[in-house]
Amino acid sequence: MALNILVVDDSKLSRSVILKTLRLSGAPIAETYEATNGEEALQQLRAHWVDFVMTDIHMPVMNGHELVKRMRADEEWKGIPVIVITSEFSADREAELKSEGIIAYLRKPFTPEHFRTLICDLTGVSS
Amino acid sequence: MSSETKGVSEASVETLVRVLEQFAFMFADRETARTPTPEDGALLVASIQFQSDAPGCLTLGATMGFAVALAGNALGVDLDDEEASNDATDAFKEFLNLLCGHFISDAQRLTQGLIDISPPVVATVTCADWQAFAAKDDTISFMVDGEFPLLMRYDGASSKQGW
Repeated sequence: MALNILVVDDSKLSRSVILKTLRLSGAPIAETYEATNGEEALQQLRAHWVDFVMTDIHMPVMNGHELVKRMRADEEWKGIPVIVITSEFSADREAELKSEGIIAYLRKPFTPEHFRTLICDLTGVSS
Repeated sequence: MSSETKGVSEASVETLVRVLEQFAFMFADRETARTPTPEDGALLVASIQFQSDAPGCLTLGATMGFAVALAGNALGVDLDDEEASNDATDAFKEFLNLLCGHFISDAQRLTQGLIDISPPVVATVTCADWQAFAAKDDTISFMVDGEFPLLMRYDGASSKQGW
């Protein structure tokens, strides 16, 4: 089963690096979509079926927290796994985000192996 | 500069070297002598402020050539590729963002509490600005890959831009 993945980050370079790393990871990927903030991410979710969302936290217009809350409040999107990718590490932040419904918290910089392990663990799909 | 701030600044050297290697496979060596002002290309200074149990500001100074190399290496494209030039400033800001996140957890040893990192701000500066930044007692100088000067400063007492 190949996966459709939505990458949400206000940095174009960061989105490019995430997408490139995803492709290098060998994880089974079908389509990838991009958004620069939570509001754009919701628009992408309305337009496409997505298996995973990978999102930054600190973004203009709508941040990652609000995106997760909006997704969890929506009947159609509440089951879509959300992975937060961020530069900071705070145990409190991670706990807060997990209580809001994210399934993983991945710290930048990351390697293709990080992605492959994470996606395969979460989906049970091997590369 | 307080001894505590000095200790954090020293710890930040290791953090910068590691994050730069992981992000762009580039290698920084600390320079003990003052780095000469680069003669070619634009000079960039980027700052990022953060709120935590120990708020502060991190500032980096670099050449546009460094930013292009950073983007090219992070993206895995040639340095003369248009993508590297187009994303150079974004790469410099992203590197500072990564550095700040790791600085807080590694150099400041803060892994609890909620941390708020503001978006990085980047500006082109004059040679005089660069020299003033480089001359500050607590500015740390690096040479990256033997060709790109890089300046870093941590200001734990201020949440204002550090140059």
